[in-house]
Amino acid sequence: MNKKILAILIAQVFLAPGMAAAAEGDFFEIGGRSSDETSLNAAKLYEYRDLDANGIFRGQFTGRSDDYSVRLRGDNVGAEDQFLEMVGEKYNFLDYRIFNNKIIHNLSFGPTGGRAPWAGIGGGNLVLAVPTPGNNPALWAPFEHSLQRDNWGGHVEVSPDSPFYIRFSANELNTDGIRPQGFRSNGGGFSATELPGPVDWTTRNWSVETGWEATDYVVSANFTQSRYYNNLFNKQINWREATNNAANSATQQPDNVYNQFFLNGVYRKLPWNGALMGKFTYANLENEQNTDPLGSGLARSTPVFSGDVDYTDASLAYSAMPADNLDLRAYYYYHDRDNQSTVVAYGAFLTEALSYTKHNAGLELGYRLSRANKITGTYDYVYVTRSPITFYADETTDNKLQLEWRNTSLDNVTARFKYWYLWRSSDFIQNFTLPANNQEFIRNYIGSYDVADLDQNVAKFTVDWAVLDNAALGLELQYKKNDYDDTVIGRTDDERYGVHLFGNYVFGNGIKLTAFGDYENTKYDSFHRNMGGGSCPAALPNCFSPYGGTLINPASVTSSWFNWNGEVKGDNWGIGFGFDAPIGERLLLTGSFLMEQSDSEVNFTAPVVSYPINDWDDYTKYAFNLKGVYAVSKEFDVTAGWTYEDYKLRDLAFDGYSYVPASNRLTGAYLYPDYHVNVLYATLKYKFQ
Amino acid sequence: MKLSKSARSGFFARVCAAAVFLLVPLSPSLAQQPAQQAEWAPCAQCHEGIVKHFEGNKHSVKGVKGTPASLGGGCGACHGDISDHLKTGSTDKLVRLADKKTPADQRSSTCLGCHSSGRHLTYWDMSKHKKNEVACSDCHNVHGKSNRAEVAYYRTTGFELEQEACEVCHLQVRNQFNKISHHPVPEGKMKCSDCHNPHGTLNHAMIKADSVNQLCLTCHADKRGPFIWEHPPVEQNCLNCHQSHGGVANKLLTERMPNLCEDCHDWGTHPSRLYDARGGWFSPAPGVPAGNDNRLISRSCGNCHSNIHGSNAAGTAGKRFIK
Repeated sequence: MNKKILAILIAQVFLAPGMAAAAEGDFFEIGGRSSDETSLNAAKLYEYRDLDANGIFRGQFTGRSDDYSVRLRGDNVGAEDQFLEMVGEKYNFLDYRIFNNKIIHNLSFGPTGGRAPWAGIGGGNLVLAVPTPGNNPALWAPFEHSLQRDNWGGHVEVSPDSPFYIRFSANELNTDGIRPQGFRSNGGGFSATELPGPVDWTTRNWSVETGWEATDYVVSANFTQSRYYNNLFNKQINWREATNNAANSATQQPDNVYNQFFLNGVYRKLPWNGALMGKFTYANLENEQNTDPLGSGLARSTPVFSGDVDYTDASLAYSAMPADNLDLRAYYYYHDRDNQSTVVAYGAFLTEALSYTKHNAGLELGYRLSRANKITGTYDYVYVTRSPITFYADETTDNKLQLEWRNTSLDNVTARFKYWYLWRSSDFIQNFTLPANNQEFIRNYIGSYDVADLDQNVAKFTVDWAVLDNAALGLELQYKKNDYDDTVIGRTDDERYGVHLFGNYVFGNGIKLTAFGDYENTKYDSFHRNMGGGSCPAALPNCFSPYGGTLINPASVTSSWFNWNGEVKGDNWGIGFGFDAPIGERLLLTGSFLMEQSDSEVNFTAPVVSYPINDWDDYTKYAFNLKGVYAVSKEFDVTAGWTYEDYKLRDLAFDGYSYVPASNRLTGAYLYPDYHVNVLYATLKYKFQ
Repeated sequence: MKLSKSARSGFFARVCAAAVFLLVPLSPSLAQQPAQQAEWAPCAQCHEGIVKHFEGNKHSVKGVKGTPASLGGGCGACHGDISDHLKTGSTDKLVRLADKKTPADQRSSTCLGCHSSGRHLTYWDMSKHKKNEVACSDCHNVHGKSNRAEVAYYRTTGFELEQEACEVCHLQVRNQFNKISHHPVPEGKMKCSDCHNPHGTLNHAMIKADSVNQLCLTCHADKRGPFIWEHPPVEQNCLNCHQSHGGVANKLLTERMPNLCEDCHDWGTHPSRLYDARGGWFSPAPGVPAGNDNRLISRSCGNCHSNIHGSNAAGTAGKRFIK
């Protein structure tokens, strides 16, 4: 289908009357690529790039007159990461765009990555292959954990030489492939079964927008509908356990329909050179489902779940300059999620439909102290209320004070320093009437970090220095610290700081140099209670309290009772250096080197012997690029290039991997991602003059 | 009418192809590329490359209402009085839009003189870029290519990326996109402006939707629900667990599982446990057996709780997102 469309598109370009014209930048490029990838599982190498496409076809062609323009663009034509676009315009009346954007997302390739013991991979019914290969991965079927997104769409807009416009947009996104999905198995205990999860989704969107664009005001209204279809039959996956051939099943994503209407605008002729901006949005999301789609037979209060969520947003902002040296911005945002979905009771378990309302108001004042110095102060207030959900915050209040200083004392230097302090207070719904020997009791002490009491300090410093007309340097420093001071169990604090540098220089002979360097350090601290089971031992009657004491079972941490701290630390740095060097009149040589490294670890403090995790997302990636572009003539360029890339991951969760650890069954998702590759390519480019 | 799966697949592709069929032949006068205009011909004598690039964009088209070409001012329409420059080469009276020594508001005012009425600038007065004195010409290069050498991992695309304009200032974001788990922006399959409106919006990070979740769910509609069993942090902000640009943990998670999950979950059984190196595939020390613990190895919590964004399974299997 795609190849046919491509052939038609290309033919159209050259057959259409009058398409001989072109603009600067228009070209047609054809070439070839070869790669010698060495890896057990090259999915990471190909994650978003189709390097398997040996042919390179791309181009851009523009036709233009005083009345019309049309531009065709094709990139990686025919490949899995293809992009096609046609944009056109009848000046002062109409414009349109049609596009196709394909994205591949590769996760693991078989046979050393994706393998599974089932037949029917890619569908929703997985049956064990015969003879049963349950414990022998060598007999399993290889497959690729890979998703392909294929997005076709476009718009047409009519604006007939007036401030009025109306625009229709539509697109359809098809996502197909297989992704890893893991569910609790029926094979006994807390075993996991990882499946080749089928993906066959269609999202279809359309919208109509109309408005009026004038110098003093703009107003527009928009209606959008987005429909998501999971094309999998019954929206579920069924499989047979590899350990005992027992039937099992799990739900998949439900269809939904999302309708949204918004009205927005700005009016600019207000006092103090002010502008008033506003937006109102109403949206509804709905679907309908069986409350026991897997046929568990559990007692339930209703057979049908009606999903029905309303979103209402309203924003109002005013920006003005009351005095020459003073500017202000005041804003208020309202966001409401009203979840009217069916609440279902499964015996004692009741679903909780989260609704919440958020009010956000702020005032920002900027004062120019001198021509080169400006300070800005901001106060921001956020108040969120949530429908009651046990052991979660039903109310949070954030206050934030921010100060910013901008200095341009030196002609070529812009420096900016920003600091804010944010404090949040929360009201958690707790239940201390529970006894401390009830395992629910521990939840009174958990502070989910997304809503927990918080003290936050953030500082950022940036410098942009245009050293000379042909040289520039950039520096960015950040520091962020979150203290969840009142949290007993959960994340207690996290900290991040980073240094980022960028520079470029252009020599008089046209040689360009660019370099960057990055360093980032992160740290997450947390406090936990290790609990040895669902009921208290006699020696610890209050075992589900963090103050309930310690009981160490020398044979097993998992049956011991104690408090422990975790500290996750990460270092990440990267460097890059590149040059563009014109050699003579016709040759341009470009090259670059990049390197990225991550080193993380987890340390524990506990009254039992613990072993730190040293390799945790530890990776090194580096690349060399070298490319030469030779201008054979004004019209023709010949390009030849070489790239070397190397990637190594060291991670405790994957080093020593087995597909069959005890009664678990895994598929090899993300396994053996290391690779190194040489890519050679050459193209011939015709540039329209 | 509900289309069958087979009818849905490729439906839009066929519609788009049909539209191209119609549109290209309906553009019969495309041969008339505008000839070099007299107004900027004198400038081309010294600035040939700049003028050539200018002729390749819409500003040079006389037929477009309000362009410098249609206003008849030539290069002076944007650069002010160029007569002295033409006579003596003096740049004193020129409006130099790319000269960072000129205040941003002055440089932008030239552009906003024509563009302020557009809906794309509805919220410009609230944009962080305006507040931080970013001028139009800092991002929009009317005349030609940048003066930077490309330093990037091999890309299959042959076109310049929008990201290259943004990363000059957003150094931390550039670093995040270079990390191993990222949205496909460096590969050219997404653009910064797919999520952000650089001209301003009425929310904090200039994102193009009313909330973070509504933005993410535009592309990730499978996670929209509504689900019978919801995970409250998921319904409020995807950024509670994910980084938007890139990170070192898979799936753009802010932290690795199980550490991330244990930051909020503690319970009488496994969410409370100290998962140290004993849970890995290898023995961490002589005499200590390897645990092969399915809460730590491979995809950790994701080995069982794949439906973490929401589940429709009945009872506790749904409540715990394990089916």
